Amino acid sequence: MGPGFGRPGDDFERREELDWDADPLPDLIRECIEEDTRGLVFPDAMAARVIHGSRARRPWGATHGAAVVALALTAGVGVVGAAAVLPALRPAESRPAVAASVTAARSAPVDRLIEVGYVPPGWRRVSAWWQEGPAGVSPAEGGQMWTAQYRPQGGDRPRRVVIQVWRTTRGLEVVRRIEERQGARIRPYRVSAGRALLVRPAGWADEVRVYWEPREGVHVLVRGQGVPDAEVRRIVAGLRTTA
Amino acid sequence: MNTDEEFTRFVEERGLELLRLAVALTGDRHQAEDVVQGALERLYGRWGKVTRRGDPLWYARRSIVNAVRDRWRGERRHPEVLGLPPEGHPERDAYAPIDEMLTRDAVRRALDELPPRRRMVIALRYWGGYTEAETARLMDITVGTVKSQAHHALRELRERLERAENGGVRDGAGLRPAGR
Repeated sequence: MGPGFGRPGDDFERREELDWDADPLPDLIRECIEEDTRGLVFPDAMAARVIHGSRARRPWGATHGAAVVALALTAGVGVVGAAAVLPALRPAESRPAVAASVTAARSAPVDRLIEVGYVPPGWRRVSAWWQEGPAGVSPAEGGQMWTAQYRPQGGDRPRRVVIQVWRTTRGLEVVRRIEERQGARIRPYRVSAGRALLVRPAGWADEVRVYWEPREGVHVLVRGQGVPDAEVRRIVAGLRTTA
Repeated sequence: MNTDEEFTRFVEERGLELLRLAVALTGDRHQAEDVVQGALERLYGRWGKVTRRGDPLWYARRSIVNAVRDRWRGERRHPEVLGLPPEGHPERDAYAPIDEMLTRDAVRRALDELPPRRRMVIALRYWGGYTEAETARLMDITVGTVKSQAHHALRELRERLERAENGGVRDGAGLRPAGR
């Protein structure tokens, strides 16, 4: 039988509607679909994944909004006061304090910029000896790139996921133009932070690329080859920026 | 109990049921997981409102139906398919008599070839056990459309099965429910 969904008490109507005793086809249909749905296992991590992803996307509520307004007003008053007092106290050669944190973030090693939170079950990280991305979009010579390659254990089909991260001064628009010139089909891709593009390169029927710009100056590329779209989406959703 | 705990409990209790519904509607495990995750994300975002004013399970089912419908509309616009052909399920046929297996295979193939909307009506009506009125509410269509889609779907399935039978796919296997 089906999943036993909650039903109103219209038994007569239901009996009448579902009266397919004379016709074996509905029973066959039910049995076939039942077989397809039997033995499924619900992914344990889905609730946590949903909560995590939703929080990142959730618009701020009224309380958050009020807190931000209050903070902004307080900060505004502080800035005005500081502007009047600080010039007299600050040595001429000192730099603004905010520059230090920006410099610290920029200097974080490229292999520490993201964490991979999800790979398909049974997949393992294997060595990736190359350090190049798709032609034209990877960093210029001398630029650092972090590459991780994942493959399923066993299996003779060529399936893999490659994740690459690099710093760049170019925006996603440049990537879009380069990929477009090479004949790729491109669509915007929804992410919890920053912007992303979904690219289906020309001539590679089983490949999909997601370029993600979590923040300005950092590009992340997820390339799935022979991997279902859904898995690529899960891998992208599982990426976390750390620095 | 806070929102996260309530929601996690709901997912633990109802997640599998929702996943089965999504698999029944899409016929594909990966797509189904994606659809369920999207539906749960929407539900989580409106958890307070939905639990106060309505039924979260119904909301999630409706959300799944909408997502599957949006997907097939999207596929019509972007028919490209990534990756590998759908994998078979050798385990589900294990130990089934050959006659039943052939019948089920023919029905499954015929179901896969149905237009998505008809497959959805058929799955909700005959697997989910929804009434015509409930199916119409879930799919946001009229009862008349449910009736006509179910009628056309059954006729189409019958024609496909007859063609398969006449084509020698099922030598001697009559159309009868498997396992009876």
